[in-house]
Amino acid sequence: MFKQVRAYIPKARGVRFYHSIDHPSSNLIVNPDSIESTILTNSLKHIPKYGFNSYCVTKSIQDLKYPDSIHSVLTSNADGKSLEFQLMLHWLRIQRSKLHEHIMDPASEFHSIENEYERVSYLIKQRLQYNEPIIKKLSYGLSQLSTPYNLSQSLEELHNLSDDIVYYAGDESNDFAWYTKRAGVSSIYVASELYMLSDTSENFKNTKEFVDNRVRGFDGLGGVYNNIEQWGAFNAIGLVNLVKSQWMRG
Amino acid sequence: MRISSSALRSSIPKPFSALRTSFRGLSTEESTTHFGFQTVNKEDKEKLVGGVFSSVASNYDIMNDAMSLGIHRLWKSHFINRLDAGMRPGSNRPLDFLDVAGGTGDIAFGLLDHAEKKFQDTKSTMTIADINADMLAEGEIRYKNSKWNDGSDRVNFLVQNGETMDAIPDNSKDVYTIAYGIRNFTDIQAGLNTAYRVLKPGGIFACLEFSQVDNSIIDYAYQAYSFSLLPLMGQLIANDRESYQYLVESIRNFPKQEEFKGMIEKAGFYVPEKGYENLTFGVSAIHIGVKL
Repeated sequence: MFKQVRAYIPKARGVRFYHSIDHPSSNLIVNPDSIESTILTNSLKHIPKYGFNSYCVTKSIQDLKYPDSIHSVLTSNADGKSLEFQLMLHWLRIQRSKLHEHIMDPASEFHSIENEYERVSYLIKQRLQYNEPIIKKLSYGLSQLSTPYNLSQSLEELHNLSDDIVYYAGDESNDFAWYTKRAGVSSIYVASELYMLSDTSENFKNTKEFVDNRVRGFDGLGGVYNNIEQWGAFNAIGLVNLVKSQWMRG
Repeated sequence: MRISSSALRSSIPKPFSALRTSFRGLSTEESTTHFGFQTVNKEDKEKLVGGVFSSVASNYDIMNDAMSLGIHRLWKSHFINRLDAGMRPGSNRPLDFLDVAGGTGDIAFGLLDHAEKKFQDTKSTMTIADINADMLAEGEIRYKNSKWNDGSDRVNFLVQNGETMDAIPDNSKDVYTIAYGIRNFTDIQAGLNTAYRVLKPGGIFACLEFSQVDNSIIDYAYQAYSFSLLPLMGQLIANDRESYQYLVESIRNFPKQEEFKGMIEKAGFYVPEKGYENLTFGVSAIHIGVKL
């Protein structure tokens, strides 16, 4: 009888358009099997030498012994992304999945940190650390991201990163703070990355300090926000009561 | 909103409508195909398409300019830029291009030009194939006066049926391009299968073709323009209403983007990401496939 009921449900509700089992790769940051990502992932090793340049892709295709015609797979993508921009986006995605692996690793230092904001700070520093090998070439890559017609995709990738960071730091907010936290972490990340570009201190010590300060400031800002909210609510109730009491007197 | 089919039927010129009625008895799927909005015998479509292009060959480009307001040039150059094909500096093997239905040669010469300007590639070869000798003759006239006619024998012309390509061996080409040609094939799937056959592994199939407009308001305007003005322009400029009526109808009959993408995959190609790019709201679309 139970079987009958179950078989009946889809009919009654009509067609369901989304089945999560049909989208097994929706949680994958980079699909390693596609030809595009094979070429791009292999291109990344040329970045320290040539920067975010389409030559890395050409070099990678030659490494892989593919014919030159295969370039067209990347150049004729439907969104019209340039090779340089695709390389930059792919690099960002690979770093994001690296951060993900780091978080998933039970041995990583991350798991010994208790406080949510310290975790955020740790993750931002960890992610910035991945910039180190290519730091000299990064400014060109960032200029690709900030080009107006690339901006929407760059912001999406930035949001994905801050979403990952805030989520894994243990954020459980389901109100407006959800947006505030992600926007805040995004802006801290961008500011820190720009700071890192001109940081000459040993081991990027100053950048790490910068991140700590900014995240602490953001935490403090959250406190200020909560206090103002509380104060506002208290006064609003007080005002209502005042009006009520005056009303009663007539 | 569509223009009613009865109105269209009545505008089909005499010789063609006579032909339609004569085949009315044949309704088996096996032996018939589309010719514009008419259903004709498969063996006859090739002849009919041949007739259309033989009659438009000499003023093909003037008509294209008039009909698309010059936009077809932008689409073609966009197509070439997107493909971005050519032998890269530091490579040791030139590419073998094949431009099918490339009669007048604008895609073929455009591709060679792009490869030379961007990658200093002066070695890749180009084969221009077309089923129609009249169209191919137009291309050859242009070739004779172009800088490609330098005795290096990089450019070849071949009269070939795109569905079979008897003269082109398996796994012999790197880039297969077809611009505004594939909808005239009697059997499009056979054409795609042949494309897969002649390409080397790692080779690219790229197709620029009229497609369907998604936005229904724009589509209404586009249909109104193409069904009412285009045949008229054909009549006025080329004195050939029937051929241009056929062009419009064949555009309407061509499979939608997603469906055509499915056919490319069916032929064996790997289709990257979304698989196609719409140009001008989907009036044209670029489709890509890779033989892995």
